[in-house]
Amino acid sequence: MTRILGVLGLLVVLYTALIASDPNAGKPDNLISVANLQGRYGVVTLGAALVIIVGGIDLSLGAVVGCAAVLFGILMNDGVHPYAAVPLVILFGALVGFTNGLLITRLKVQPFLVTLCGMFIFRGVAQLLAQPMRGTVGMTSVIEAHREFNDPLRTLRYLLIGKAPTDGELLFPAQFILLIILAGVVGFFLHRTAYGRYWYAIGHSELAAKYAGVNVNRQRVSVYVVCSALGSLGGILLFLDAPSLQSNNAGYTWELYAILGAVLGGCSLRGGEGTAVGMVLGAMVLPVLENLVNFRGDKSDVIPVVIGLTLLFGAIVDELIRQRSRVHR
Amino acid sequence: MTTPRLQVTDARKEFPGVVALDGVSLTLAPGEVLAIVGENGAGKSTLMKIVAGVYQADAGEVVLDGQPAHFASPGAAAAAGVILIHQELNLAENLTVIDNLFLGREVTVGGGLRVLNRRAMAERGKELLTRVGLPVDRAFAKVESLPPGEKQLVEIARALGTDVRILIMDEPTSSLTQRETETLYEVIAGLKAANVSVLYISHRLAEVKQCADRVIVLRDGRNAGELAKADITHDNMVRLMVGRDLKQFYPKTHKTAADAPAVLTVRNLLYRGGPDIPASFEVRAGEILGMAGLVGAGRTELSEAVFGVRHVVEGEILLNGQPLQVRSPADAIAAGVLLVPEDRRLHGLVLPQSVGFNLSLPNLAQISTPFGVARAQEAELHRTWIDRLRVKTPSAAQPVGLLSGGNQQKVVYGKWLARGPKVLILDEPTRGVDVGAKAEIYALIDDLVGKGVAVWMITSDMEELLGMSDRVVVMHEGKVAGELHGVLTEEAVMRLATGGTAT
Amino acid sequence: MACQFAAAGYFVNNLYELPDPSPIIAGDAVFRLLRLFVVVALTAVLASLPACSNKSGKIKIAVVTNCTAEFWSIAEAGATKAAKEADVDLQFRQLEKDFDAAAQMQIVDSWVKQGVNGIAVSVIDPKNQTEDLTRIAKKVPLITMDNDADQTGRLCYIGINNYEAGKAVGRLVKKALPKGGTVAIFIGDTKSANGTARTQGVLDELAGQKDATGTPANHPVNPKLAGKQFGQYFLVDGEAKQDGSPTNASPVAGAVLGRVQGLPDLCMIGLYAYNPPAIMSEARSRGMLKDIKVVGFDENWLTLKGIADGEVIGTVVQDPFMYGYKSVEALAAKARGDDSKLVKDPIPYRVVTKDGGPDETINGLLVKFPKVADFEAKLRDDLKSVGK
Repeated sequence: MTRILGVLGLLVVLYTALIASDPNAGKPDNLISVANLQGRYGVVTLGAALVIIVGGIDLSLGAVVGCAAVLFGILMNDGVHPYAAVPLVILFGALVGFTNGLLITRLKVQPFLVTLCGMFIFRGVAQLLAQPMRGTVGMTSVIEAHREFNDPLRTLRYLLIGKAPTDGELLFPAQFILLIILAGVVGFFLHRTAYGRYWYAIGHSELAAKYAGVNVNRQRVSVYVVCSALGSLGGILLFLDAPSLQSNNAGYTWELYAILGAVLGGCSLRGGEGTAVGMVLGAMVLPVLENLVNFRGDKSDVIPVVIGLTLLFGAIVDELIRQRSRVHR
Repeated sequence: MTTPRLQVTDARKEFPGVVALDGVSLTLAPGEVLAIVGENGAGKSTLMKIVAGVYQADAGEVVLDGQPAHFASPGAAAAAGVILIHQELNLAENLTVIDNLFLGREVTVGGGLRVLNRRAMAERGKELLTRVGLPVDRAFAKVESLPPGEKQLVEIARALGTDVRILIMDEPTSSLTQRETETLYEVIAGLKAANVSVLYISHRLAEVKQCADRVIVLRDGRNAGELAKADITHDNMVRLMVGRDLKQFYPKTHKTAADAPAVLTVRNLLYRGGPDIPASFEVRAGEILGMAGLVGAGRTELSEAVFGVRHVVEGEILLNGQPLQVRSPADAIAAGVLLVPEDRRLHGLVLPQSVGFNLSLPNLAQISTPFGVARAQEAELHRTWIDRLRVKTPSAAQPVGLLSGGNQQKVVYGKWLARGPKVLILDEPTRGVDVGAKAEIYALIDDLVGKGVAVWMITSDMEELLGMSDRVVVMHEGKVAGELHGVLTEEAVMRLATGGTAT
Repeated sequence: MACQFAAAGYFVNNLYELPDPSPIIAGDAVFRLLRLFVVVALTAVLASLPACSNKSGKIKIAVVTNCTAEFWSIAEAGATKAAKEADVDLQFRQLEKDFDAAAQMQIVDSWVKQGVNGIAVSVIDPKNQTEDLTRIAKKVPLITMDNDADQTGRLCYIGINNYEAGKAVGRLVKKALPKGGTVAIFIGDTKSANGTARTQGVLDELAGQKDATGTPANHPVNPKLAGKQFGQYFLVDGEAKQDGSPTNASPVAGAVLGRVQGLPDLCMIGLYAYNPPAIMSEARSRGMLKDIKVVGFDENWLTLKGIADGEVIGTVVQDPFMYGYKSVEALAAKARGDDSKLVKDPIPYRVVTKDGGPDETINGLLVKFPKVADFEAKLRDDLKSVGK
């Protein structure tokens, strides 16, 4: 519980500051658009957090998000029906995770290294894939090429993003709802099934899990599969929500946002710690902060500093609370 | 004769550069408690790990109930009922006791979804805890919050929860209190009655005497002998283990002058997180002050306060009569007050680093020049202490984690001795150390004391306490319960340690 | 701020005394700390709030660019000047995530929610952003500048005619290599409206015909080099070289320079602001600077210095100051119900060379030919006004 007190406090402060910054900031339609972004970050954060719980790290996540988004666009551009493209792209993500997992567990290459290389590789793959489209994919281009995809794409966007099929107005935070559903599933596995126990145990001490007869390698591989699959889902969401994407910057640095969300939400980078609720809360921080600086009208040059300092401040206070609570346990 | 539960024939295992097992054989009957003793490095742990599927033998037969049994992993061995309780605890400390009891074999519903049946596990788990004498309210505590002894019992409880046929215990009592040890004996007796076989490894020969049906002794990776129940005596075991008699196990050649001055004086010391009652005692030049007490009596905490790990709130620490400000271990070390910690793997050594790295670590200032560490001087330092302490290591470059417990402990001594200690605080100086290395360490301590070093020795090993100490201070529930001089007896120590008064 | 640090000190002091495993039950201590934290953090955030006072009830105009660049700082200077003159609040946001259309739309969306009175956007991907911008244009007066999206119902577009500006570049090339030669074109983005138009303008001017496509050919001196012939000019690889971002500009330029090294009559054309400096630095490091002609676009300082030093023939500049100024002026007027300030004609481009020249009317545009020294001085003055 104490693990999420800090992030909860940070969110309260940020929301308060947001609402205080402008009379319109607290209106439902603004909060919905914030929630929508939180949803997308959250989906990716869930994956990153699971990997962190088993004591790993996935730096390729952002590139996988971008690559999946581009792949989604290219597939449809080549005539694959949107409803078929979604599972294909998620399968692609799962394969990426599977490869990462095998390299990490069988060849014993450090996760940091494997996924750092993946970060370059999948960014490159995204750029190669998008080359025929001159590096840009977007929903309108797809629809222009395939008129028949107009309805399914708009339906998909309505369901997953919550944007009106007609003019793209954001009606409800579908991505956030999706996040809550996925977090529920992740939480269920993490806290209610034997698999979750294995993940915590592996993260804390791989040896302990091994001696308890857990198939450590299989568990780790499956977590990487889930992580990258969630990343590719994030890519699909990004494609559907964004007007258009550049293959060289779609999902850029998202792996760091995801790791940030996971750690703010109570995951320890040493592994073996973290809750589903915490992951959701952690992922909620950055979008509020981004919205806040938009509303405050900060100068571009100041924004990164404001975001960095706020997060740092939150992290320090959070850590202090955690240490206090640990002492007094 | 019935089929043995386990038969190992001519097991052989080689590691790069070392033959760990060179044709070892043993048989284990159903319901038998077989103790395996030997110095560290004799091959006991390797043998047990082969039986439990952690290692695979290079050659030789392992037969379980008449069936060849070569397990590819601990999981496979566990499935066949062979459970190893490892010397280094293998619990997922971030999980609760219940979670650990059932880790890897959770009670689940929902088929492949494997949804946990928490109620069933809680019930069954509490039953297991009762069997090992742990209070049931521990079930939902996180393992990391338990004292070491209880963690050990949790591991044993975990093994009991399986369909265990052979239980292998590697130094199970090293962190248990006396009472917990008694419980363990009861558990073992219960297992025997249930026809479970037990392989028991311990350096505490008294325990072996108490609970083993039979002893086999290993030396240098070979069978060195076997003792039937009637022949199990301390001397017999030691003779087989070292291949010779140990005459002076506790040497104690030093003589403490009656009027020796106090080197370290602790006066009315209160430290953060400690008891409300201040502690006072002194350690004199050229003496070994033994400090006894039950696990949790606050001895380690007190030593940590003196060493600067814990924040001193009140009272003073005097070194040779001069007040000593200890704000951090660096202050203590600079003053010559050095600590050989209880948990050498965590606090005493940088395990993945080399022997040389560890020896150099506190001595870098002495061997550094403006151009970095003087290589020649450093090599000299390594050579000196590896030779003088007879550390068994291929070279100074060997990762210290690969050495046996006794040799690791010698490296901890070495890094401090190179500094020339004034006060040496020893917290469980020979825990997890084999008999041969123990004798060497005792000789070393005796030699230091003879040179005037003041030694403050915290130990839970009664033989060690009585054999080595010149004077004993007993702690009880965080406070100094009394002091014993002259003829030291176990009864007197225990009376004070359990809250009685000195007569 | 001081009280924040004092509070932080309080925490640190407690932290210092940590090694303390005493099993004190202290859930309420945690909550006390949490409360304290909330209070401290709230003060911290709220204390810095007045910086963004928008409660003045003034008209509020917002401008978002497509990336962060000096070019946009000049535009910001113009926008700031117009805002002062029209007495409106201005939010000028240089997009920190370069060319990220999604990030740009998020910012615009939050402005719409905030209820600003007018928005000007440098569109990144006209086709794919059309749907969003159409929706936005229905709610808030919207104008596009620098790069257009003409199907969105925006009020007007403020920018140069990129095709004509491209032709001006072509004329500079022709002047530098009157007998023809080998050219390469570098650009950040070939598919953006401005990129396409600019490139086509250059090629049409070189070929001497409209909608020139060129004829595939191998280089007359080095047949291994494939490309297209536009009139007397051989275009390396037959198309403009796209680099995608400033960081990638030098490697792309370097690769082409390596391939054309040793050929006579070389002219390198950089069509985005950062391209000419990238070309110069790569050429300098290869010792080729003396052997090539450089023609640029936009007013990067290094490009201007290159012109002054005679290393660059000239550069065709837009008028970012005017973009900013006109955007804010038009939107401010619109917010007060005045449509007269909406811009109907393209902003004229200008051609900066070392020695300058008299104004000329080309294809109906009054084009100025400033001297580089004068131009630079004026630029510095403009920038000073925005305090950067």
